[in-house]
Amino acid sequence: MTHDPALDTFVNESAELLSSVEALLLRCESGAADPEIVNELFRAFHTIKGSAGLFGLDPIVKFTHVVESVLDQTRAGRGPISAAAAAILLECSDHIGSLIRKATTGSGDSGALQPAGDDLLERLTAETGFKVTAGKSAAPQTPGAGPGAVVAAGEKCWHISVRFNEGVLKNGMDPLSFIRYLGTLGSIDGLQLVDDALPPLEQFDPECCYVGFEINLKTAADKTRIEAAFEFVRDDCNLTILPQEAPMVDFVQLIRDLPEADGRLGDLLIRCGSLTEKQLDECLALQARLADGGGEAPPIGQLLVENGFVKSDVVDAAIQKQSDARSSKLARAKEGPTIRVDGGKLDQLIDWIGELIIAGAATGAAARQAGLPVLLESAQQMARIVGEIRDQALKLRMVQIGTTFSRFRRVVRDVSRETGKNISLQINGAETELDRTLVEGITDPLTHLVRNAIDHGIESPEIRRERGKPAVGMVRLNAYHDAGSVVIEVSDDGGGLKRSRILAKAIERGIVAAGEPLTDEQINAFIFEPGFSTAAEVTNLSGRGVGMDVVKRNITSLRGTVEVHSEEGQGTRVCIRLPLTLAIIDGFQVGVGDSQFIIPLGLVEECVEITPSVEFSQAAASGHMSLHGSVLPLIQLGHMFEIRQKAVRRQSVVVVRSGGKRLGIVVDELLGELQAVIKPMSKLFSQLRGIGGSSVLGSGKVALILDVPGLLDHSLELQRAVGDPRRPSVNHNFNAA
Amino acid sequence: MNCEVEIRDGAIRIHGEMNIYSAAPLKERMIEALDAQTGDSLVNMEDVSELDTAGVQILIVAQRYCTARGASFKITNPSAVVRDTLELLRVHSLPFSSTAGDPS
Repeated sequence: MTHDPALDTFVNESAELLSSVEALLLRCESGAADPEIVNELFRAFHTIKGSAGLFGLDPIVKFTHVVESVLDQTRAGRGPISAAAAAILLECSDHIGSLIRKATTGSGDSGALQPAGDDLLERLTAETGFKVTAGKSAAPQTPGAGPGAVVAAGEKCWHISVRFNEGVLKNGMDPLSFIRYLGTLGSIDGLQLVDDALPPLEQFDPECCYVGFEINLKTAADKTRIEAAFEFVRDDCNLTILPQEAPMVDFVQLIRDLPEADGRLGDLLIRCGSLTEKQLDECLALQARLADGGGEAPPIGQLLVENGFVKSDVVDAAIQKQSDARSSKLARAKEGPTIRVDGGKLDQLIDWIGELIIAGAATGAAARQAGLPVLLESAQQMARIVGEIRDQALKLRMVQIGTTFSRFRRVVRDVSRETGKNISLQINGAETELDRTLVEGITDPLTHLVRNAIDHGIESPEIRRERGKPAVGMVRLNAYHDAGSVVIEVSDDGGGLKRSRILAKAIERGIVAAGEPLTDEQINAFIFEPGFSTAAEVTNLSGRGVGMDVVKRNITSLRGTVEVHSEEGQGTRVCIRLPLTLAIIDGFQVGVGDSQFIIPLGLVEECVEITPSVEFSQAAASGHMSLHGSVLPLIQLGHMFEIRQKAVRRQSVVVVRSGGKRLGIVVDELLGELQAVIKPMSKLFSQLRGIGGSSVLGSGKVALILDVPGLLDHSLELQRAVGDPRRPSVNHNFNAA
Repeated sequence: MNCEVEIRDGAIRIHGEMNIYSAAPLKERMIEALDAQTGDSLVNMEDVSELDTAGVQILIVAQRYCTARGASFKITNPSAVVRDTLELLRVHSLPFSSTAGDPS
C-alpha cells in the first residue's frame, strides 16, 4: 500500500470521531436523553462511512452503514438511546476502530473480523428493533457507472475542467473553438459554462475572458489527444483532465484547486454528469476536512502528478492559487488561531534547539576564554534568547492531560461492568499540561493502575455497605504541577493495602530481613518488586498482563517516580511524579575530581560549603550529617562512582529534594547553572544506578545527569544495609571512605 | 464596426458579428440600449452572423444587468449561428424563443 497522506488524514480523523462517539455513548449510558446526542452520533458515523467509501474500504462502509441506519431511525423516532443500545454501540465503535486499523495498516484480511461484526449488528438490530436493509450498496459507485453513462467499447468518459486566462481573447483565441474541436473527438455529454467570474456590466471588460468550462466528454481518444485540443492555449489556461473513474481524491483536488466555491463547483460536476450526488457529498465532506487541516493540508496535488494525471506545472499553478485563496479564506473562516502540526516536526525542532544550546554553550565558553567583554556580553545575550526559545518550543509540545484522563471513563465503565461494582470516576486537574511524549508513555501504566484500583482496590457493594461506605466506589484521577514536575495521582476509596501480608511475603521472598524496622511507605513499595504482582492473594493488586513492577519500570524510564500511600480500609493513593519534559532541563553543574555531573536545578534546595575534617569524614562514612538541626542522608559521588579525587581544600554538599525526601550530595566543586540537553543513555547503561542520562557540555566534554530519585532510593537502601552483613556489595564503596 | 445595435418596435436588434473585434463598442451600445428600455428587454438576434466567447459574455452580462433591475432579458429569433453556439454551451440562463422563424 502506497503511503497516502489523505489516508492518514482519514485514520487520524476517524480516531478523533470514534473517541467523541465514545464520550457521547457514555453519556447516553448514564441516562442523558439529549436528542442532539443522537444527531452527533449519526453525523460521526456518517462521516466515517463516507470517508471509508472514498478509499474503497468496503468492510468499514458496510458495517458502519448498518450502525448509521439504526441511528437514523432512532433519530426519526425521536427516542433517546437506551443504555443497553449504547453499550452495544460502544462495542460497535470499537469494532470500527479495529476495522480501520486492519484496513489501513495493510495487514489485509478483514475477513477475520467479519463474524464478530455480524454478531454485533445482529445484537444491535435486535436491541433497537430497527430493521436495516443491508442490501443498500455500501461502497459509492465508481463514477464510470454513474447515471446514464452508456459507454461503447473503447470509449471512455473524461472530465475536463478548464479556466481561461483573461488574455486569451486578445491573443486571438476563442475558447468556443476548442469546445467545438472537442466535439469532433467524441460526444460532449455534459457541459457547464462557468461564468461566475463575470463582473457586472459596469466593470466588465468586453475584451477579457472570464469564463471556463466543465465538460464531460465521451471519446475513444486518449488523454494526450484531448490535451492536444488545447495546445494553442496551453499557457493561457488552467486545464485538468480526469478519467471519470479516477479516484475520488482527484476530484476533491479539482474542487480544491478551482476558484469557485466548493458547493457551486460540485453542482457543476453533477450537472456535467461526471459525479453523482452521493459522490459529491463524499467529496465535499473530505474536502471540508482537508481544509480544516489548514496549512497542513496534505498535498494531493503531488499524488496527481505522481500518478501522471496532471502535468506538474499545472498543479503548481493551481496550488499556488489555492494557497493564496486559502490563506485569506482561512484567516476569515478560522478565528481560533489553532493549527495542526505533525508531532514529528516538533520533535525535530526541539532536537535542533538542543544542538543550539550545546553550540551556544561552546560559544560562551570560548568567549570566557578569549576574555573579550564585548564577545562575552553578546554570548550571554544569546544564551538568554536561546533559553527563551527553548521554553517556547517545549511549551509547543505540551498537551493537557485531560484527553488522556477522559479516556479512562471508558476503562472504568468496562471494568466496573466486568466486576459488577458500581464505580464513579472523578477527574481533577484535567488542564494540567505535560510533554506529549510523556503522555504517550504514561497511558499504559495509568490504565493498569485504574484497573487495579477498581478490580482489587474497591470492594464489592455488599462489603462496602458492611463497612459503612457508600455503595458507589470512587476512583479519582488527579494531576498538578509541583516543583518542576508533574504529579499524577490515582486514588480509590477501597480496602487499601494489607501491609502485614505484604511484609510477610517480602520476608518470605528474602527481599527484606525479618524484624527490620520499616516505614509504611517502604513496605508499600514492595508491591513494585518483580514477582510480587502475581501474588494476588497477598497484595490485592494482581496484574493483568502487566504487573506493578512493569508500571514502575515504565515510569522510571520516563525519569519519573512512583509511590503508594495506603490506609487500610480507607483506600489507596498511587502517586506518579514525572519531569515536565524529557528533552532539555535547567541543570546545576558540579565537579568531582575530573568528572562533571549535572543535577536537575528544580530539585536543588541549597548548597552548603564544608571544610574537610575528621568529624565530617566520619559523618560521611556513616551516611548522615546534621544540617540545620535535622539529619540529612549523604551520598559521596566520588566514592559512589569510584572517581579518583585529589585532596581538595573544601567540599560542598548539594541538598536536593524529591518526593518529600532530602538528600545531600557531596561534591568537590560547584560549577553553576546550565541548560542541559538530555541525551538518553544507551541500553548498555540501563542498569546503572543514579544516572539518568548524559549531556554534552560547551567544552565538548560529557557530563552525566544525576537521577536524583534513583540516588534517593539508593541512599535508603544504604541506610537499611548498614549493619546488614548480607549486603556487603552495597556497602563496599563507603568502607573506603 | 461590423456590429450595430438598434431599437426597433421597442425591441433591441443586433446586427452583424458579435465577437472580440466588436466587443468594446458593442458593450457601450448595449448599455445605452438597455438603459433606454423601460421594462423587459427583448433582443432580436435574427441578423447576428457570428457569435464568439466575447459575444456570449456580453449577452450573459447584459442579462444579469436586467435581472438586477428586476426586468427580464429574452433573445428572440436567434440566427442559426446563435442557436448553435448557445446550444453547444447549454446556456440555459439565456432563454430564446425558437418559434419566431429561422432566417437560414
